[in-house]
Amino acid sequence: MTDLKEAVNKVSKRLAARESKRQRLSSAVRRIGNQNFRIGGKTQDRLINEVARVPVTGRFAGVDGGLLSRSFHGIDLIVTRAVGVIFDYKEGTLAGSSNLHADLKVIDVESGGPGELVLLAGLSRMEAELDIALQTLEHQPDYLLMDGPLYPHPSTRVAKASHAKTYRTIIRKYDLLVRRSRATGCRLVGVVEDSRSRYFSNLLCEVIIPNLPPEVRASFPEVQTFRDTVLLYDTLAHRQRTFIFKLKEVPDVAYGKDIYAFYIKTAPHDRPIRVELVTDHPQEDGETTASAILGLSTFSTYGIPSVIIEADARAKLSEPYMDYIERMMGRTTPLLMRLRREGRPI
Amino acid sequence: MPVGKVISTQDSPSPTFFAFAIAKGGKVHKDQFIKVKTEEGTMLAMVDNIIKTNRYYARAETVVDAENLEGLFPVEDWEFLIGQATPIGVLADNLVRRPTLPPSPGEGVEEMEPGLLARFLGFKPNGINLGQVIHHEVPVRLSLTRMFQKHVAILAMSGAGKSYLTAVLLEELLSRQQKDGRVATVVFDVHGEYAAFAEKPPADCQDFSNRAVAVRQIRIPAASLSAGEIALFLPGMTPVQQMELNEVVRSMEGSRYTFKELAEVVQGSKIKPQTKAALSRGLMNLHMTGLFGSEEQLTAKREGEKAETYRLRDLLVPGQALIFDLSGHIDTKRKQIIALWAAKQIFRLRRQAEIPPVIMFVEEAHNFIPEGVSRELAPAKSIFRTIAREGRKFLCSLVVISQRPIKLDTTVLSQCNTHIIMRITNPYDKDHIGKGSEGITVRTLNSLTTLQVGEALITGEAVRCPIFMRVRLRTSWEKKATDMETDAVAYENSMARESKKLEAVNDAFL
Repeated sequence: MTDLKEAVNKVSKRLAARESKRQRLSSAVRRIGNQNFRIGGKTQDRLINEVARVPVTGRFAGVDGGLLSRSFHGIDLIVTRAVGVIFDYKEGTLAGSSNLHADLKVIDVESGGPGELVLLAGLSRMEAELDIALQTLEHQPDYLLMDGPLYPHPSTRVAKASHAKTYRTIIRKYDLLVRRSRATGCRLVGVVEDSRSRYFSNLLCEVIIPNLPPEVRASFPEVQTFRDTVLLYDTLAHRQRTFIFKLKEVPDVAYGKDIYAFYIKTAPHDRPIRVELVTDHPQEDGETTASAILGLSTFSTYGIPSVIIEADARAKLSEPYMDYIERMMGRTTPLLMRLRREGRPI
Repeated sequence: MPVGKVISTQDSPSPTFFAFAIAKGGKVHKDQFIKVKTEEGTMLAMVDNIIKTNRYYARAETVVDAENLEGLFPVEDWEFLIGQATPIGVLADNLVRRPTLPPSPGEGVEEMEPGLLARFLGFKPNGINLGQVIHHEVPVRLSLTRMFQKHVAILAMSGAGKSYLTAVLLEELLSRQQKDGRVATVVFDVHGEYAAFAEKPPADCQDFSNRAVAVRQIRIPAASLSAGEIALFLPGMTPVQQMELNEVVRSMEGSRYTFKELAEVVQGSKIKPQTKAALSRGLMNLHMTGLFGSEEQLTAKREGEKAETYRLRDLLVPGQALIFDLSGHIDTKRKQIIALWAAKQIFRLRRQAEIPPVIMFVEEAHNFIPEGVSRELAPAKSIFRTIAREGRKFLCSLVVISQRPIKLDTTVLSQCNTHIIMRITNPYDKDHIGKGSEGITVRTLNSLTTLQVGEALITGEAVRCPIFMRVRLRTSWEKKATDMETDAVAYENSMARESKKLEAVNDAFL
């Protein structure tokens, strides 16, 4: 027990030191928040910006997917379900709503291990979400909000080699979605929660800090060691956003050079979210989108826009679904036997 | 018609409880009967409770915190109704069995068809029609035997509709056909509420006057009472006095006499002077009540008609009601004496099969059969207790009606195997009913306080499970009591008329 206490104490001390550093950095960033920066050729922004909260009007769609996976002795099962929700707002008040549900998909695969199963499950959910997003687009929303980034997560890029066909299909569907949304004038927006990215920190280090006077530069040690949302937790106040920045070119997708993002604090007691959009007019679209996203957020401790919350709630799959499917299949074969680690006798 | 699906919760479905999600637009109410398929057959269940859920309002902090929850989210889309049901039986091969297996999660829950419900509850086409099962188009038709053989208790607070229900019961008993089995009915009518059965009603009411007699005066033959029973009417009688009286009564056996005559015999006997004086005084007091004579005489008088006298035996006829209208007797003791004598005679006659099966209604039963009160203060209690215990064998049934169940004799109440309970708010009474009524759950018990006037819970022998019902409309004449406002206006009007008359007389005189 003493060993455990010591171990925990050590971690606590490290955390305290790191938190103190984070707070100092946060203050330093706030101090330069009013300064204007030109990042890339298309944006002209302050580091930290107020977002105008206006009552939302228009058709907003949100897409999210639910996912379950379970490994058996001989096969693995993946269950996905994607949902699109469409809310019509008039002056900040919901005037109507509808939903699009994709059929529950049950997929059996033989993965090489837990890592591959996670990858395959992620790809399956992504495909389901893209399918329902394309259907949702047909209902001509003004905004289509996706839960997550607007491209395959970097961790899934390994599939390019191992599951090339699936990966290609997903890329094709992403391209199609972006093309269609641009053609219909719908703003396609990626809402990234719990991001581990360091886009902002990197830009700070690479572009902004080097342009600061030397005495100020010293206030930003180890900025890159912090994730963006950790650093920005109290750097941004409620209803503030960062500058709109361009992401480094995202490979594989046709629109990889046109993806812009910003962080916004939509709830006073929640971490900021990253908002991505594919646009030719990042400054204008970014500002409008930031207002809209803020207008769709109402909770003080949960800063996700309403359509994503609703889509998530409708798409969520709980374990009893998998139990039910397992029961339906029966267990007449060793292929469907539970793993031993899940059925220890004691 | 499907109304929902069984859901899986931590401890359900089980053979004793299950919950189900009610389909959007599905009409399910608390206390409604539903059915669901199980491996054993069709499970019948009663909806005990209905809960509304909404995940948007599930967390207090979210509800308080959100600036514009209703404005931004389709909150009403997430409102779901969850029904909680208690299985009451499984119908398989035309038999009702105790459920031993639960329904499966996902199984469809359906409304109960009227025919199936009536069959399950054991209703009979020629049964006593009390009204309708709440939330179902099913008339409550209770088997005469199952309902009355083991006695009935009608319990409710004042104004809940006890008398109305009793009148409906009387209508049913008096309307039965010979082929369906008719009984003699006796009512101890404390407030004169049922005497209207014996009167010619207005044209829009059903006429029961040829099937009911309301007795307002009674003459009890003194010779029909034992010394012990006479002692019950004379509190303070010593054992010695009772022993002496017993000797005198025995010596008079076979003859008819009044209490005055009996007092004279006592006076002429060799009893000690002190005992003699006390006995004579007591017997004379009884004589002075006017309730006793040498001959049995029950006097009935309909409005506008001549009084007629009967013997008790003549009024205990199949399909007819004998109503003891006790409203004219202010003194509780007089009511007790009449009830004691009549009940005793009726039970005796029934034991000897000299009268048809009989049902006795005892209004304000807690006054006749009180809990924890001595025989002297409640002389009729012992005979009603006897009937409650032994009446079943002789088809001599009791219907005890009370607004204070907690004050009702526990022995009698426990012998009443069918309880009809209407609105009760007194917590002690409610608790008492919960302890004494068969098959009542805590939720059912709590529903008693929310019952509307005219709604009742039937539990016990007459029904397979507790049911909530709405009492049907009366067809008989209900002499409505006037309200305070009407009576006050009528009084002042009559006073004004009197005053005018007086003025006119004065004017004429002057």
